[in-house]
Amino acid sequence: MRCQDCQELFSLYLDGEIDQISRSRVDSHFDICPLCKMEWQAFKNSIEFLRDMPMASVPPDFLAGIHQKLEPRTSWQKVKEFFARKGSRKWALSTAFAMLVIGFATASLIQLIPVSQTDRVAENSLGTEQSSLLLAENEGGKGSQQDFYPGVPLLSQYEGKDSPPMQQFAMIPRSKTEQHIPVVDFVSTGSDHTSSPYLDTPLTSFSSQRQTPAIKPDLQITIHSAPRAEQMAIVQQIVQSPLWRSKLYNHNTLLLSVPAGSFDQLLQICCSEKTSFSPEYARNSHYISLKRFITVAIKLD
Amino acid sequence: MNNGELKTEIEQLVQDFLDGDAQAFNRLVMLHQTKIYNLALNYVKSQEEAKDLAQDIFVTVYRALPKLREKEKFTSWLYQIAINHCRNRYKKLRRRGYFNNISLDDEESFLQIPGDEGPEKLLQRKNTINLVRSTIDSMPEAEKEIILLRDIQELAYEEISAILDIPLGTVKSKLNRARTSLKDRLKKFYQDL
Repeated sequence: MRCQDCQELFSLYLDGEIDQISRSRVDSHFDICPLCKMEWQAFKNSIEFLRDMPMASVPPDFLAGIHQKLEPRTSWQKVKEFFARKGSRKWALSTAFAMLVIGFATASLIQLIPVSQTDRVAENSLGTEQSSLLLAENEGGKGSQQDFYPGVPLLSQYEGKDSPPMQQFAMIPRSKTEQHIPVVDFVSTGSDHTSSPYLDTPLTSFSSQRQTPAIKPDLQITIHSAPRAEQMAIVQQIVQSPLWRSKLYNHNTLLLSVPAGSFDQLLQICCSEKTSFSPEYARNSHYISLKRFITVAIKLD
Repeated sequence: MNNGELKTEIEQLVQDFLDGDAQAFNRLVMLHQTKIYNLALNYVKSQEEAKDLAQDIFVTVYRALPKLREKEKFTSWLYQIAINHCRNRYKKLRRRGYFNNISLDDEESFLQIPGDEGPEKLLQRKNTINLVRSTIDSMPEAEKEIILLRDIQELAYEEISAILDIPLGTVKSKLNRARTSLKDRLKKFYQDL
């Protein structure tokens, strides 16, 4: 018998699960091989020591604990058990919950703390000063060709040299008591546009009698000198269009309230060599704001 | 009570439980609690966790017992449940880093070493027990499991084969390999044994 074969039978030999023939062969091998005998002693000692190791006794409330676990528990009991147990997860969850509560409480307190009026005034004045500084920087930057918004064309690039400066209108609060009926001295085109339902409140405040209109137009289109008939043809097209509301401002100015979606149609009528736009970039509807209505002043030069 | 009588009693208790005798389950627990608790203790290394784990094992047994078809295989079936619970709990605790904070010294307090040896001998024996326990812990999972079932739980080869769901021949060869491995690991401490 080889040593390896002998040592493979140690376990069965120890447990008495070996047949009589194999047992005799192992015994014979031990007589001639002291190394295997020594290994066997070590093997036997290890396992016997293991078998002799004392068992821990069961905690006294073990069975009661099983019955407790078998009883249906309420959610509150589960929470109590969770906090009664040891473990890092419990502390992690508790800490997270506490942090959440503190966060909410802090946020609520911040909402409740009133900001004093003096603080607001100080903030405003500071904001104004900062704005002025920024404007001054901008002005300086413009002079030195500094581009604050790379890639965005400057406003001045769109304004033609010969375009008339935009008339400055002041914003005046509309008086409710004064009702001015506009006096139309424009040559009637024959259409019924002056009594059109489109002509409602935004434009009624414009009147030839009042030199300070309540609305500042977003855009001025000037139709330059041409044969009067040609000018009138353009005006007629504008007035007759159902796409916007038109109103006479004075003898040579017409005010329009154009829906943003119809601005392209107005451009088609007005965009010719004999018209000028202020601001000039308004020729391109790409730069027109998407707000609902644009107030346009059409001026006959 | 010999093994045959114990087996007959267990079968009778299972039948009584299925017939509605609640006390039969308590008796089944009393018969197996020490071994199951110690099996759990070998996996989780702390009394509190072992108690909770062993209780969970018996709760599962209580709920699943009506589904057991072969009542004579109750012990193997109980150990199958126990091993599955122990493996799962061990993995869960290891993932959480639970064993990094556990030392074997914690176990000493609950080990009641029998005998009337003097304090010096008692201390030496405790040290040796700790050494053997830590050696078992350092063994691969499969080797450790088969040694626990055979040499600590004292289960028969056939029962181990049923619990681990491996052929009898494999149980024999694996057990010999595991025991040889334990012997080799403990070789340098033989003089203490």
